[in-house]
Amino acid sequence: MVALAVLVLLPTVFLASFPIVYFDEVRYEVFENPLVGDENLRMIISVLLFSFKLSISAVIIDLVLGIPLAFLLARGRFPGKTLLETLVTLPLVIPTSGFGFASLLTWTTVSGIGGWLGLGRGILETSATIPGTGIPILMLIVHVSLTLPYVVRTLQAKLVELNPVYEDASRTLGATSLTTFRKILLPQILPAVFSGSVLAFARSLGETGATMVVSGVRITAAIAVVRWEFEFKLGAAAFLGLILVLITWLIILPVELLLTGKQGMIKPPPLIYKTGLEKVFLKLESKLSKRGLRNLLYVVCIFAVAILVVIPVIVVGESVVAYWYADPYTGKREGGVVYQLLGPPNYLPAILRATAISFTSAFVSTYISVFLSIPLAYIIERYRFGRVLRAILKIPLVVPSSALGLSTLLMWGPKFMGLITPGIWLIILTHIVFSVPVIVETIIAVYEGSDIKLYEDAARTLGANPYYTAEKISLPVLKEGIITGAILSFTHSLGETGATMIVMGSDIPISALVVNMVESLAIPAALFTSTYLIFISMALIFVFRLATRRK
Amino acid sequence: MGSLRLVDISKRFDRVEALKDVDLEIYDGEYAVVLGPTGAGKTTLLRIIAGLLRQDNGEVYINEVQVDDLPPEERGVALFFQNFALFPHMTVLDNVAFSLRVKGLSLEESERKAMDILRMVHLDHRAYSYPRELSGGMQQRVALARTIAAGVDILLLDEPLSQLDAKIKSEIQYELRDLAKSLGLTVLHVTNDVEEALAVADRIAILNKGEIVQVGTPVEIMENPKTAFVASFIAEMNLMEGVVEESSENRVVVDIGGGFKVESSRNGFKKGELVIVGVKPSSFKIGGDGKNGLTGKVEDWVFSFGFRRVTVQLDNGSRVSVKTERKDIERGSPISLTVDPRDVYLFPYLKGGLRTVLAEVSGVF
Repeated sequence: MVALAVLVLLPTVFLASFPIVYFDEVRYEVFENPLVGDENLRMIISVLLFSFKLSISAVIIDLVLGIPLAFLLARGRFPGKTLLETLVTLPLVIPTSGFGFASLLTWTTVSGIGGWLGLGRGILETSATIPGTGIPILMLIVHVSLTLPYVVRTLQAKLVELNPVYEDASRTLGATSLTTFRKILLPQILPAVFSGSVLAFARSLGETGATMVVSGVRITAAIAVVRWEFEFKLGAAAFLGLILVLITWLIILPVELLLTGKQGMIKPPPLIYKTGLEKVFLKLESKLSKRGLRNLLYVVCIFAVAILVVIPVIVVGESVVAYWYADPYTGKREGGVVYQLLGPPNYLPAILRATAISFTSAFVSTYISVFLSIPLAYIIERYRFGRVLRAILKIPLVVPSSALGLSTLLMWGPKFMGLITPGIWLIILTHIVFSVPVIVETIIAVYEGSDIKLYEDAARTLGANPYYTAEKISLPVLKEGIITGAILSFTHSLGETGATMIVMGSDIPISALVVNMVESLAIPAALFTSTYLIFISMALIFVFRLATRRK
Repeated sequence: MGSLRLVDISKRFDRVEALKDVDLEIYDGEYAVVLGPTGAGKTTLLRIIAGLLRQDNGEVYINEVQVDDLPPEERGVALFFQNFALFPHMTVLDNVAFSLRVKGLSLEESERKAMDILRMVHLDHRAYSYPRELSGGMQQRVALARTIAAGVDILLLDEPLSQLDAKIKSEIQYELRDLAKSLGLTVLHVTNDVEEALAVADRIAILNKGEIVQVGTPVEIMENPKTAFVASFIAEMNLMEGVVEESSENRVVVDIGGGFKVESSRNGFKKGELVIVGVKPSSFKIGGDGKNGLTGKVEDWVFSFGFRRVTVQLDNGSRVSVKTERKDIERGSPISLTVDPRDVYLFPYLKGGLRTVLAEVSGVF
């Protein structure tokens, strides 16, 4: 419990102490700077507004694409379903900076879709925005790909849990498929729609790795925290981080408390009848409920997944080959991967060192997290305050990671305890904060899906002592959850950028290295590193699938 | 008007053949029952008729119109689900009014009509309860009300009584039939309960392993089962394997082993052919003289609704069940049985023998 409090809970809330303890510094930087006045405050407000706009749009697109996809995955029976499921969830496990770079190539350069179409340039400018909204298209695309899995997975899980018999009943009672969706499914999945959207929103708000790669000149709130920390504007960074954390809490807590506790059903108000809209809806739904139209919708959604996820991976892989010896367009050796890795820029040692740092920190943090998580999962399941603990544990998952990183830095670093300076140890400590919740959740999922309590009781009545029971009964049953959680935590740790960049000091792990390379315009090196990172993650996932399929 | 005709319906699920060339016609206003053991394909058949599942082969005609390309909501049949499938997020009234509302009726009108139907099943006082607050029997009636409210002429009932306990069930099964008849509905009711089928059906179609094996009125099926499966499943006949020893115009003698020879007045089997012999438990007489005599030992007996059901281990090793009102039955005592040749049924032998038939009856494959 103490370890939990110190390692996991405290870092998530420690950020709050900074603006209080160092109030003067915050006031000096944010509100009354002698040089720029409240310029920083105005910056904060403007990046926050921008972030909101971006995240809300991403969530809306997520819902449009995600609801049909979730339905297709939960109810459909078709060849390639597992493949589609894997593709949708791929962005959860690919390191985001690598993925961001792949998207950047795909959309804005001649190596991507533009080149395939024979345009001789990218089909988008990095700075292109949706007219009238100021939302950069590329950033939106990347955020949609990265947050879509949260919406799809949450909804899919809920739909699988719902008995399809209600939909059948509705159909035989004369409701068209869309009417059935509105009247039967929607009221029952609405809580999942909310929680999926909240997760996606929080994730988008906190996204750092990919966003930094594709951001161009516009910066989001999460990136601002990282930038300002680099510029030693700690006060402003902490203040903005705190605002981000508070906003996330304000959004998450009501959803957690109000929606998940109850039976998860919402009674629609009779408003639709009162306004006479019902008839309009029914007519519209019966017109749109054609099988052909529904299939068209599915095709569009699958196509979107292909464009968002598959093509960037292909593009980045293809470009590495093209750029291997030289820049394929200028023919210069300096633009080739080999030159950048082995020639004067000499990125290879940096990549190797970064790989070592990444794997060491991922391994150590996962290892420690597993040991913390198993007893924690038990505490959550066995005791009444477990539910509260579980809700608290979800916070590190949704708090913007750069804010979390800042919080850990402030807690362990020179400003407060002064115990640990930025570097690999601080990376490990930071990664533990979000690894523990991931592993705890997967263990709980297995725990609740099995009759483990029954088996343990049986073992005890058969004369096994608690330790023997834990070793021979509980751990083998929970093994799958533990392994799944560990792999998720490992890949997450490999790909994490936002928090890592804040706490890494001079120990640059591979995900941050991609960001640095892009910022210093070492494109071929970034290309190689992204591909390398993506394929390592995909190989890990492949191993993971093999390991879990055996059952 | 509500007639239903199935032509050559087939459906496979991966390796399992759920339905094989099912032909069935149900007439307007008829109460028909499809009876078969668990896993026979009954629910699959209903789902195909309702349009929730697409058959691999064959056609469905409703009122002589082919409906195979129509979605469920346009077929004009209502399906009653085994677990009721009452929408958990709606009140009883909202559940019943559902089909009226999706047709575009106003809130008030749909509510009024739904109330009328709820009154019919005596549940108007629970209109504003949620399904989970009702007992199983009440939920069953709500589900029925909801199905009736759909206003269609054909009801498909998927084991409508299986969730009820025995006592309520026997009451409700007659109510169900009366209600359907008084509303002039055509009903296709599927069940695995023989008594229930015999009690409510105008006609019964027996489904086994995806095939319709016999169609007829309850009396026809009881008196004249066509296969060993039907004989065992419906009439609970004792089945024994044997070889035809003599065969003439209306006399067949079958050797059932252990020196026992059974005479039957049914024919159609050749000398030397393998057959399955069937005898109803009530056809055996205890004691009696000579003809068709079998001897054995009482293995066990149990009470069953006013008579005793005796398990007899015959001296040839097979086991038969005998219904009797006699009280002087003791475990372990020797017993002799006779049976009238007119009560001895003969069925064609099946691949795999008796064991397959018995396994099919209990729904184990």
